[in-house]
Amino acid sequence: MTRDQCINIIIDAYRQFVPLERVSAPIGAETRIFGGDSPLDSTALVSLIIEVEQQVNEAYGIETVIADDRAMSQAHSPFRTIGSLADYIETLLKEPREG
Amino acid sequence: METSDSRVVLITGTRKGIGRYLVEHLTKSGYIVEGCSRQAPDWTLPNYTHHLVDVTDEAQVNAMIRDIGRRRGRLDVAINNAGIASMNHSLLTPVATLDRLMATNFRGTFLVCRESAKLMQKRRYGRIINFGTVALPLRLEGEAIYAASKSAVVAFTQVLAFELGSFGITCNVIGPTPIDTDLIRGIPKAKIDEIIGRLAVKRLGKLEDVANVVDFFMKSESDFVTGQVIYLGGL
Repeated sequence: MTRDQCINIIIDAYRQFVPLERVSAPIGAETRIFGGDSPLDSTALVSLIIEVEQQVNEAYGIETVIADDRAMSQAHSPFRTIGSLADYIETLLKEPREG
Repeated sequence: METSDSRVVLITGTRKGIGRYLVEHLTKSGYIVEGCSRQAPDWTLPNYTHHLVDVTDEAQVNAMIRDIGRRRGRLDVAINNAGIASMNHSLLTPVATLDRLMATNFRGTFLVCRESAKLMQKRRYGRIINFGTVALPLRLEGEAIYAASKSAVVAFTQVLAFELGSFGITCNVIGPTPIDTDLIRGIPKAKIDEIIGRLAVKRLGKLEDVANVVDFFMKSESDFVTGQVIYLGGL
């Protein structure tokens, strides 16, 4: 999966959980999903992560967990922007898998 | 993916006992029921689908709930009935027994709750019903590990109720008294009588008593009832 494919999955999920009237700029890699001026509340953020996780897992036929302890404890949260989340997913997908 | 008009219920541990009774009760009431156990049941029912799943196995639980999502398009209720008991003095309990009880009673409940809620939150509606035990409020000697595993279920459910409240998902616990199922078959009659003697209503529980509380938690009108533990028998 390329970074652009990751970004498209996240943008699709973002559109599902952010009402159109709350989107003030074009949605892209720099769009905030956590903190700052993100229009996502905590419930919508959880739903977005579940949706992205399911889409990635279906595309790859794997069982990746995006919001694991490592993701939650990083100094720079991978959930800051659509781009940073795509970068984090790319890293996860490159790691060797059990089995 | 099709979305059924009928509400879809998942029950774990349906091969026998309370689980099987709830399948019969809820299919009769018009629900589509999905259930699971490690071994295949020797019965079938219309509107019931069985999955051979060990609830302690993450991949199996994930696959079952993904399958329900694909076939039914929704999940309205998850009832974590699968459970095992063991009676022994704590000082004589092998750690393997503790691991087994915690795995089925707590880990299994956690996995099914987690995956069910992922599916439920898509429609911003859900009912999670977990199983506790009267052994906890009664401080039953010989049931320390079993009660501890169910205590974990209670604590988890009460926090989960807060985490899932904004998703329209309620999470509650039913705490049955001894009921005439396999779970209590190995317990001496004197011990059962002693437990019954400590209840407000002094009798063995019935499967109908459990179904009654499950029906209450499941009602769409019960959307303001969450994080609660209802013990049968008046505890």
